[in-house]
Amino acid sequence: MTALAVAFEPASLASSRKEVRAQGVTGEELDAILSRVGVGDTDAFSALYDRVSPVVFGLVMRVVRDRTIAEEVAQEVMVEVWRNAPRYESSKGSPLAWIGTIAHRRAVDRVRSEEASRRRTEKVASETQPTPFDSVSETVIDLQEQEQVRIGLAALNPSQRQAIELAYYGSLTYREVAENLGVPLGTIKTRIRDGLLKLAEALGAES
Amino acid sequence: MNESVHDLAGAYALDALDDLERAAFERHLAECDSCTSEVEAMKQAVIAATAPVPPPPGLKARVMDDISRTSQTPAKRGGLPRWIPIAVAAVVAIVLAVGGLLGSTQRQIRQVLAAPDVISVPLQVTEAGSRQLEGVKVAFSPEIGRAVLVVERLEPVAADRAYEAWIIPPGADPIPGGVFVPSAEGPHQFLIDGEVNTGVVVAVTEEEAAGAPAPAGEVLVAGQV
Repeated sequence: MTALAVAFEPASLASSRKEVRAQGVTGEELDAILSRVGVGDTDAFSALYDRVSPVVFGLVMRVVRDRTIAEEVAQEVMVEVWRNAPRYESSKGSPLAWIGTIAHRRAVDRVRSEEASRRRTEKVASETQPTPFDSVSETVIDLQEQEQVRIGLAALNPSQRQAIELAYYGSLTYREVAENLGVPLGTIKTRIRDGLLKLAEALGAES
Repeated sequence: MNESVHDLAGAYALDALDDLERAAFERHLAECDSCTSEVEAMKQAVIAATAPVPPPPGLKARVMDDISRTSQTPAKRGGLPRWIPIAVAAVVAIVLAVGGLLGSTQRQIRQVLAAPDVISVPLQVTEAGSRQLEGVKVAFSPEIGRAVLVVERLEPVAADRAYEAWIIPPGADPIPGGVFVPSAEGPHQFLIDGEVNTGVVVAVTEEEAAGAPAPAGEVLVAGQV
């Protein structure tokens, strides 16, 4: 089982070097592994796969909601990580954020290409329940990390959580979220931004 | 652009902008440090809040198989190597067409530059050389035993001429280390063709296009690694 934790420098969003741990590997270590992948090191890629594929698969699953499609998309994501590793620059951001972006965008592209926007909006509206931001499984995340994620969740109010969930896992644009909820654009932008800032800060708080 | 652009940072971090807005926001990011760090923090937060799920066991084998057949895109400053080893025109055409050879040279250059023990050794430009070269260094990895010549400014040479690198071990004759000519932009990186060890002298002369087995031209640059 894999575990994922994110610990930010406390409340400091100005700094772009954040410490991320995946399976006990620090952000710097992931960085080093990814640079080796960037020069064609397949052993490093194998190590990278072991560490990040659960995050990739988990994210893709949440977005595409179909296991078969999720497998295909996750495979494409990992190959794209390999292909573009030489272009990864650690000064631009953390490895997990870079990989997560590839994964999320591919998953969203897949969903959007499979459904018309109107159908998608209707479908998501009917499926939206007031679910927690994420289902954190105790077997997957250890207690300290779980606590951090819970703090993050607790920091969000339901409308922030819902807006973020619809936009991120529901692959809607923020305009579609606004339309879906019957709420002004500016309100949605604010809910998303404030919610994410709160989440980032909460996950960065030292316990 | 005003306050409202920054408000899109969250939506951008969640890939929740349409194509036009995304392009516009990316232009904004290029000049807004606070949005850039905000977006990074938000992406990390939302990834962290997503529960990992172990992928199906067969996936790894499929991925490893795919990558064995997938080439990597060169880093932005790479692409075609700035220095293309040239022997004769026909060989140049083949080399460019094959592409793979270029790829592997570029990969070796990056390996040297990224090596944990890499050292940077400035080379002395002679008076004769100063008209043609400027800012010459060797990036040398003793462990890999290879070196990359890095030149900030390099004057073009006539069509029938080329620069040639030399590896001169202590007390030995110069060994040809590859020929090169500048491509359009610098800074230029050239993989010295041959083993480079601590204590050798690296030198550059100008020779005829196919290169010479021993230096005939004046020494333009030299230094000991």
